[in-house]
Amino acid sequence: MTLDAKIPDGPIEKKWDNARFQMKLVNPANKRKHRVIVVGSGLAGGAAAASLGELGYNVDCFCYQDSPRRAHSIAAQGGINAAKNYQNDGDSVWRLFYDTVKGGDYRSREANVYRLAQLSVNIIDQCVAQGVPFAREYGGVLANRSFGGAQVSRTFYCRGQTGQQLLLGAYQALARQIAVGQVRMFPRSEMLDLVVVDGAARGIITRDMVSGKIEAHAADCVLLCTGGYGNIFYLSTNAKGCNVTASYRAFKRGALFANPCYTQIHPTCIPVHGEYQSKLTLMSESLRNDGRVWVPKEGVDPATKPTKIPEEQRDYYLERIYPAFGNLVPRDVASRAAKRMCDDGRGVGPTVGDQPRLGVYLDFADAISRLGEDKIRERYGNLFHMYERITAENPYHTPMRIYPAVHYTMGGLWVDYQLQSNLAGLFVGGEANFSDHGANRLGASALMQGLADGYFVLPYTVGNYLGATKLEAVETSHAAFGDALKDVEAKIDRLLEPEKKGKGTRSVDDFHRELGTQVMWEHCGMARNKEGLEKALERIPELREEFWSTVRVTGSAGSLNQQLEKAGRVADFLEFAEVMCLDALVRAESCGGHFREESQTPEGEAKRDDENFCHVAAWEFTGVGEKPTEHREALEFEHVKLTQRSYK
Amino acid sequence: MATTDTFRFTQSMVGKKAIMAVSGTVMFGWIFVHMIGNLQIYAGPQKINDYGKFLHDTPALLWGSRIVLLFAVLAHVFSALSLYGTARSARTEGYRKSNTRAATVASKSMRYGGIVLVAFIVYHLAQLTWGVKATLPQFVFGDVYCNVVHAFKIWWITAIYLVAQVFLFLHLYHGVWSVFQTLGVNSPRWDERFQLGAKGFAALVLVGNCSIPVAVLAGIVPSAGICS
Amino acid sequence: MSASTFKLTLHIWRQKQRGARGEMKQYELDGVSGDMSFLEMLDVLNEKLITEKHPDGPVAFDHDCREGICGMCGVVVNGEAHGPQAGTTCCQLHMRTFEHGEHELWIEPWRADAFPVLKDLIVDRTAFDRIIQAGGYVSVHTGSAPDGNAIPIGKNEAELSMDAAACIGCGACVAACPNASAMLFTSAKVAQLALLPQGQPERFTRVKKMVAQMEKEGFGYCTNHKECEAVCPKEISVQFITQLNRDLLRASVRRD
Ligand SMILES: Cc1cc2nc3c(=O)[nH]c(=O)nc-3n(C[C@H](O)[C@H](O)[C@H](O)COP(=O)(O)OP(=O)(O)OC[C@H]3O[C@@H](n4cnc5c(N)ncnc54)[C@H](O)[C@@H]3O)c2cc1C
Ligand code: HEM
Ligand code: FES
Repeated sequence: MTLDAKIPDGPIEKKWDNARFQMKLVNPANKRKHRVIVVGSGLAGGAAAASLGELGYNVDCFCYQDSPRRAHSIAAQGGINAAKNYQNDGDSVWRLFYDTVKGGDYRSREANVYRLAQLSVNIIDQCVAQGVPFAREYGGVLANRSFGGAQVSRTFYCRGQTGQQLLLGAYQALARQIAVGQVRMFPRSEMLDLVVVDGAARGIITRDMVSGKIEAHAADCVLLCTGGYGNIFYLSTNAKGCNVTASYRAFKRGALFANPCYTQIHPTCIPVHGEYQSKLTLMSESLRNDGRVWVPKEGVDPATKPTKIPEEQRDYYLERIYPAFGNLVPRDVASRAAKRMCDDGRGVGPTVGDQPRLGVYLDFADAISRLGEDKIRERYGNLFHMYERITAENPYHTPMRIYPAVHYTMGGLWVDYQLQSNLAGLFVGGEANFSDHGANRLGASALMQGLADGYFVLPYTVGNYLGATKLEAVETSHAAFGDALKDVEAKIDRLLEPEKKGKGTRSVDDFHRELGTQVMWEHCGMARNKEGLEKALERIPELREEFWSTVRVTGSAGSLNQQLEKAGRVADFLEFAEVMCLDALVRAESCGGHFREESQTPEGEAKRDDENFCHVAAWEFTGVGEKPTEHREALEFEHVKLTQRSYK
Repeated sequence: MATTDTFRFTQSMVGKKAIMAVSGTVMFGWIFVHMIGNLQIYAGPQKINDYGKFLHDTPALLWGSRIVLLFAVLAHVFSALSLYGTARSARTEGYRKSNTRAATVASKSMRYGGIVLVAFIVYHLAQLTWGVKATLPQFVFGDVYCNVVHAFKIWWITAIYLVAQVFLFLHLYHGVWSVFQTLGVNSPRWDERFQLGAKGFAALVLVGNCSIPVAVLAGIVPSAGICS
Repeated sequence: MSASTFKLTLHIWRQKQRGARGEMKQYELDGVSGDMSFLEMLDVLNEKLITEKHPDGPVAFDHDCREGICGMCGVVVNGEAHGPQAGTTCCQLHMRTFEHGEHELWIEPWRADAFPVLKDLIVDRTAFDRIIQAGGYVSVHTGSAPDGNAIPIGKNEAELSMDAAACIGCGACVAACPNASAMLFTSAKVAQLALLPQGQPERFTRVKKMVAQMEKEGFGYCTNHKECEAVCPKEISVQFITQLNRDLLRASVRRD
């Protein structure tokens, strides 16, 4: 299979225009003859479903939560980038493009990123018009802040709830289409399979999570906007329900999975505090604008109260190692440095289980003495409050403890410039695709990508597909639906089987915890090496075996059954984990969010290997437990020169 | 069209609540005037009996206000009943363990307090307006002063009035502030002032109204040689 | 950090499915740590019910983000929606709140006829979605927006609008209201949009439609107890209810 990204001709700034001009249009009277399935109601899915509905297509939209308003996009705190240059500080579409490619450590596709930067300005306009209450200056114009180490102020925000407000904007647009009957919403419905007819995606199989009914839905094309799979690590900043199921089952039906090992680890999360812990909480990155990161110097007892450790016994290691950027180095760099400190036994905070202390201090004492407590409260009050609620420690008086946590997955289903996967009629948007962030995502750019895909890319490219393709009418009575339905039902029966036979001994969570914290985080997390990855690749099939023979799933298939829902997701994680580890193993370079220990500079910094790895690795399913086939899409950089990133 | 909209509004919960607020305002306005009138008892029998006579000699005023009031009471009570029905059917299965955080004794008393007030109003009218003998054997039409004195000399009648006044106090304590909220004239800037005003007004009515039976019972309002 | 653990007696509403009869069941749970979140405590209970093969099975409860923003979680703890801590969803409520005090908890679902129980502590809140569908939006097509700075909006209006927009749609306001009223939820969206210039063209039709839908769903009316504001995890003010009342009154006498 050759991977054709279908990048349009012309100079980069004209590519999207050219592509749009060449697109086939669907005449308005014909639009209502088409049905489109959108799985996911986050920024990408919600925006796409609403926009397609407005255009006159019949849309069926699915989400697993009880309401489309609760997709995990809601949790984004920091903000959304746009090259508006409202601050007159030298920003431009070109600069946002450049920063994103560089930030992604040269592993993204230039043409896609350029389009993203171009569309960023329209997103802000659209959201303002919807009534999203962005922060404003006294004069009434939109406010910006600088975010994630960017040198310009291009981030738009709504307090610490930007994702929520953007999502509610999309949700309201979606609600309007639901009200007029253009969109049918299916909440509490989980997609469990993709139906492919004659090589094209024509429908999905879902489970109604209240009644347990397995249902088939047919359409002319399918959009997957199902978010990221960071939950494979068990502990992450993702919502508990985030999963790989939708993408993975599409993968099993032939869609390629690109760069699965690219995960982003966010440096400022609240450290783990107990074995019962169910998730990690992110503290906005903006904290690093005023906080200083440190650990006790070698020889100091890490259990000493931080306020009792004198200045000269503190190691402000980010400022020491990266004097030019200091505490504002990109996420991957900050995360890795924290891990190194803790691995050296200099971490702080409690010990959980037999782990070393996993935490570093983020200290606001300097900022408080310089700006006053009130100013700090004004800037970060809600974050400090949240921290105190979780840890019962007051960050105004004692330094915060932070540690990196899995936050985002750059990997995803492979798509071309049209956001169409190698399977015809299967489009993928938002975090679920792989396209725009390379090996590391810059802060405030996932919201941008989700909305660009949903509002401004998919409505065009889906139309183009429908206009250009002759589609036979397909009903759910087609054999392909019946087969997929049977597969899904059989899988559910298998999940319930061990318990029915009295062999169920271990809970789903227990398996998930082991896979996530002991296998994936340990061997396929922030830093990886060949040996560890091989160990993981040995353990995963064993664990999967144990899972299928001893998992205890109580309750029945025909009712609301949260154990069963979880079990299905964990079963997919247990298969997908192998693809991730394999991808990580094959990519023997350090780049972006992932550090390959064998590939480092003499100073211990990440060393990228453009010679061998300047490509997208897209994996093709060949069978459970079988080694998937790797396909490569070479990446060409015409506009941004490949250089080794340096933040020193 | 505005008129159908207005009608639809009166049929909505928010509209019915607005009707309660408006009718309540009419009633508390009247209660205030009524109290000022009654306080004339301290100026002696002549003054208050003249006031009563003035009212009866000005039927337009007397009947006008009676009709408005009757309307207000009916509107208030019917809205209350209808809204109560909505609230009941909105939660047919209650909590096994319940607790409140912000609700006050006053806000919680509105419904049963309202029933107490209806009962009291009927009793009060029977006793001092219609002169039903069973409620006050010594009743004489036109002699407001002595009717009041005879009634309140009996300790349990005074007690009934005092209890009713406590309920009225609670009703006003919550209700007067609530009017501003319901009619959409409240705002964060004014909220505290409205609350204070409501409490002050409720207290004023409580003290003013209670003072009369207490003063009679304590012998502060003279009766010897005036009422037999 | 609290190192010690404690024991709890839990009374939890168990109900098989929509329309079934439910009842309070009692469970004992040992080893509760103050650093656990309330939902983690329920996780631990469920783990125990599963491994012990308890006939009742694990307790079903809604949750997703576990950081107080998605609005998915919500149970009534000892008569209080989201538990005793102000401004906090139950996923962000930590067990240290209960460490010193009664070690007996009553856990019930939101109770309102407009929110039927689906199972145990899970209720159906789609009524909220239908209220938004009735008019809780600005009718603007994708692509038809003017420049973001074309409409200046004062900082104060923007902030106040954001105060209202902070609603997470969890339903605690309904759960806590003695009348099961959805006025705080409805008013927050009405006010957010009424406070912004973008929301003006549809301002009065919006409030009428949304309130009509709210009534149709079977929620109760507002008696100004302010219970909703007191339990709201985002501390949304009842001043927005005043705004709704005002706009609805104005809408009813306007000619349009
Ligand atoms: C804590 C946190 C903070 C963040 N902060 C920022 C930030 O400040 N700026 C920024 O740019 N980015 C941020 N991000 C990243 C960003 O929020 C996400 O990448 C982005 O919102 C993803 O949007 P999405 O539409 O692709 O997916 P989501 O919003 O995750 O939506 C996924 C949708 O798919 C549905 N779904 C999933 N699986 C299934 C299934 N099997 N069947 C049916 N439906 C399914 C879900 O119900 C949901 O509706 C943050 C992420 C996190 C976790
Ligand atoms: C006749 C017997 C009465 C009954 C049955 C009654 C009942 C009620 C009820 C049930 C409420 C609603 C409470 C709520 O929604 O919180 C209410 C509100 C109110 N009542 Fe009464 N009441 C009575 C008499 C009065 C009187 C005598 C007054 C005036 C002095 C009065 C003034 C008010 C006011 C101002 C409100 C508040 C309306 C609002 O919330 O906007 N009521 N009453
Ligand atoms: S689980 Fe999202 S708010 Fe509690």
